[in-house]
Amino acid sequence: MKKTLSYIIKFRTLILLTILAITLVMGWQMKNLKINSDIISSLPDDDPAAVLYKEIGEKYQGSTIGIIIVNSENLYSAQTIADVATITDIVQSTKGVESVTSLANIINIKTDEYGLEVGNLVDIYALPETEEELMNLKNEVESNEMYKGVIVSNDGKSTIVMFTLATDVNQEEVGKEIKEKIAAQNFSHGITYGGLPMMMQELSTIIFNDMLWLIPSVAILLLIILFLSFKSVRGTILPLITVSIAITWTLGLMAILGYDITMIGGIIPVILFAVGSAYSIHVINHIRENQEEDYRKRILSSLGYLVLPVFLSSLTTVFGFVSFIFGSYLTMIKDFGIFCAVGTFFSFILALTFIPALISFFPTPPRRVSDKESLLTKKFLRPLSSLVLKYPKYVLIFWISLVILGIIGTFKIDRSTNLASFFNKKSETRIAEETLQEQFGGSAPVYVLFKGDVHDPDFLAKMGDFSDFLKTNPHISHVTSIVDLIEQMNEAMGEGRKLPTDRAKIEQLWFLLEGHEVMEQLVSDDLDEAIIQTRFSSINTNDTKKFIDEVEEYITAHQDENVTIQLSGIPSVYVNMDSSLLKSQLSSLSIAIVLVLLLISISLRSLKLGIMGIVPILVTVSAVFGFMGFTGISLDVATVSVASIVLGIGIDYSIHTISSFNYYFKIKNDIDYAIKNTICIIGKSIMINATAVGLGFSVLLFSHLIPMKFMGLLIAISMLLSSIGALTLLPIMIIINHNYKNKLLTKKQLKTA
Amino acid sequence: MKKIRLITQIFLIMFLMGHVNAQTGTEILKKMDEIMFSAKDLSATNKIVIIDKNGKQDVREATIIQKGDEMRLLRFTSPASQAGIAMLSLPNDVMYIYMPAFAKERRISSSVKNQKFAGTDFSYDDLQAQPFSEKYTAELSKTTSDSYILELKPKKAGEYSRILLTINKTEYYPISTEFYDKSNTKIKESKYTFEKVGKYWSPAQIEMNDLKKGSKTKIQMLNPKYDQGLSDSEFTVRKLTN
Repeated sequence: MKKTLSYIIKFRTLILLTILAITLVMGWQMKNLKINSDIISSLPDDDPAAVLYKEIGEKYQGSTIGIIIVNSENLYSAQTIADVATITDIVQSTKGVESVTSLANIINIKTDEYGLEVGNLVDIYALPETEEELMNLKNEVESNEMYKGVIVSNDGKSTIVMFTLATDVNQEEVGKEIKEKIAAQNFSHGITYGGLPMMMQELSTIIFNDMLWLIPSVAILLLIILFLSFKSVRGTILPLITVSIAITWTLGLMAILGYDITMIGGIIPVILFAVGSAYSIHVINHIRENQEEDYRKRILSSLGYLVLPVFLSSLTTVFGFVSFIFGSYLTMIKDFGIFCAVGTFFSFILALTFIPALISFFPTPPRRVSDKESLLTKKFLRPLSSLVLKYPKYVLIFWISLVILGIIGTFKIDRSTNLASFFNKKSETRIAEETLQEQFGGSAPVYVLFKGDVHDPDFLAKMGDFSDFLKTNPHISHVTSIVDLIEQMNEAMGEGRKLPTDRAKIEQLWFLLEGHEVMEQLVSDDLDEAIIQTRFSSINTNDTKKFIDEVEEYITAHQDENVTIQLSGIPSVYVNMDSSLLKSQLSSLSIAIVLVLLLISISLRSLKLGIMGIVPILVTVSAVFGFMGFTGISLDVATVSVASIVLGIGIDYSIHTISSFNYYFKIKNDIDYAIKNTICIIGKSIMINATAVGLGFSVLLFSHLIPMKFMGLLIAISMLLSSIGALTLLPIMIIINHNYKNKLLTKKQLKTA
Repeated sequence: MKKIRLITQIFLIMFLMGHVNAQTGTEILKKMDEIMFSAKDLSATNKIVIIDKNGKQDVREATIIQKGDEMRLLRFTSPASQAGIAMLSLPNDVMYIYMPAFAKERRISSSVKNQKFAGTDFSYDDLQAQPFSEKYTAELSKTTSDSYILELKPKKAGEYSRILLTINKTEYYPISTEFYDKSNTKIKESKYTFEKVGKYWSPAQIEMNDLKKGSKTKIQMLNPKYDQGLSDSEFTVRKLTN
């Protein structure tokens, strides 16, 4: 081992040049990185709801809906209608758009005593201009439930242009193109955007801006913390450079392997700054305080001492991240885990190669460790050690009550998978979503697929009944299907607004509808499938779940050999994501626990010590879950990763505490002495590390995405709790264990005597 | 001074040429309209073959009678589900449809001319029996050994921003058309086959390709008979029920 380490100094130039070369290559590769905020692409390929959603998209002119909201005080003015027509045109001519529905092209079936007209509400080539034409349009819209609250808001102050996208296009890009083209028109109306492609586009902008601001912020914060604790340029700059290289390598590798930056992937650099800097800090600190006279020997002896503990510490963190690979449902969480783990590993390797190779060029005399007690020790750690030794019962009661509260709170945790809920309440996207919910029945498309004979009156009647059933849900306001059109045509033929019971009549009404654009969105070419389209307006997970359960129940009760029914759409996808979130949490946490426990038990050579070491972290995790439950922070794509990350990082504190206790207990066979020294001496570095990591993560509080904010907050709290846990709860457990051992021993001695 | 004169002359010639071309374009189009609408009346059987992008065929048959360029009666004979459906077109965009299952006729209109006709790739506009020269202005853009290529621009805004029309140089019947939308993308193209029936050039087949959807529709004219002396009473609502 020693020989291997000596190579680091021997080949230092080569090492530095190699690192530089790799960094340049990886840095160059980073330009190929793309932001991808598409959550549908993050669903596993075997999710039935997602598969059906994509299938419907391919067959029925796209399943993903984008919405442009045009707000106008005077909707029925020639100018506004002309603008809506222009927007419709812009969207229609954008590549990747499958269909567009707006006031300017929506189907209209007019009937009067003379006959019927299947056409459009507005003739795009002869837009209404006179006062009379505009009033007619207004009356028509307000008296028809196919338009009011669907294409024009209930309050009559806004109208929407809705479009569907092809399944094989970059939805975000299309959304961006449309936005830019519309912005270039300088309309006088307030225009906002909703629906998945627009949200994704906004999300990408936020991810990009967040990266732009959060990465420098965490770097500067780290700079300050490092300077305050080291008061040397070397100790401040080097860890920062090391982590920056590790981040460059990680992002470069992502680019080479063809991975995109996802919603949570965007915070990988922030996480690496917070986590990865610790290894370099250990190395620099140890070399600095090593009293060996010869500089090279000093570096080597420090490295020899550090290799194993730093390796263990990075390995537990890697395990925390790796647990996502096995436990997650969304591919973006898996990818996030993989690259955080890779980045952590790079930070570890660089701390042991780059730093010694570089600083070996700049010898410094060893620093005298001052005997002066720091403020932290005097004001916090000493009192803490007295507390632990004098009032262990109270400390124990504190932690136990925290666990109990945590468990109670855990049951209150909400889950959130709806993309809209990730945006700040005041953001334009969120406001647009609220308008869509209140005025237009929401933006989340729901599809019910019916398979059978589309011309069969019974088949259509089943679809009609289903539509009526859907409308009973408070979050469904309008339902579209071929049934409405047939009923309207039937009315036009003078037979009332109902479905004909005669197949021949249906077939002949069909003749008139055939070829209309809307048909391609409602019925398959082979006439063996038809869909009901609707939108679900609530973004609340429980509402969504209830809705899906009710619909599934209805389907089971109403399917037969002639008609099969399937449900898909964004709410179904969200519900699947939701149930998978819980599974993800449980499996990734349990995998992380097993891996970390295994590692810590091996390194401490005792399963008992391993379990003791993991207890403070588990207590922390349960407290954090409780905190989430009581404060209403939801479990989502980002917060789901908190527990495993905390486990991976926090376990280090326990390892430090246990090793330190063993060390001091060996010196003087006195438990009080060992505990006091452990808390006051090793406690200092634990607290500094926890503060640095916690503050690093707290930068996420400034993210514009709600899940990231909460993730930052939760990890910051966890760092505090797990470090204090390792310095209070763990020592008490050690004492109890020691006393128990002594008792056993005395009993044995008594027996043998 | 001489130079200026020369330039003026060149401009004059160019102007005149342009003028001549424009006139020729309009003339050619008018000649084509004459060829296409020269018969007094027509009766025939239409076979409509719709082929979707996967190659799946759907065949319909109808009998057709037409008088002049404004009266037309189309009656479907197959498939069975559509047999008996009849459509009557009269002057001034008046159109009636008869549905046997309802035993009722209804006046229908389509405010949208670009809407597809009964699931085919032809829009109502494409099938309208209105002379091209009434709807479009024409300019001759190219002359080849056997054809003229005209560029048509709509007089009133519509589905197409321009049409490239190829016309047979000697007989003045259309050979093919290319339709462009507002963004100048070719969205449809059609091919015509003409045959001489009696003294008229008669369309034997019109094929329309929807380039966006990848589908195509062929309308074949079988057994065309011209100038049979059809009376106006053949084109009344009463006649729809047959």
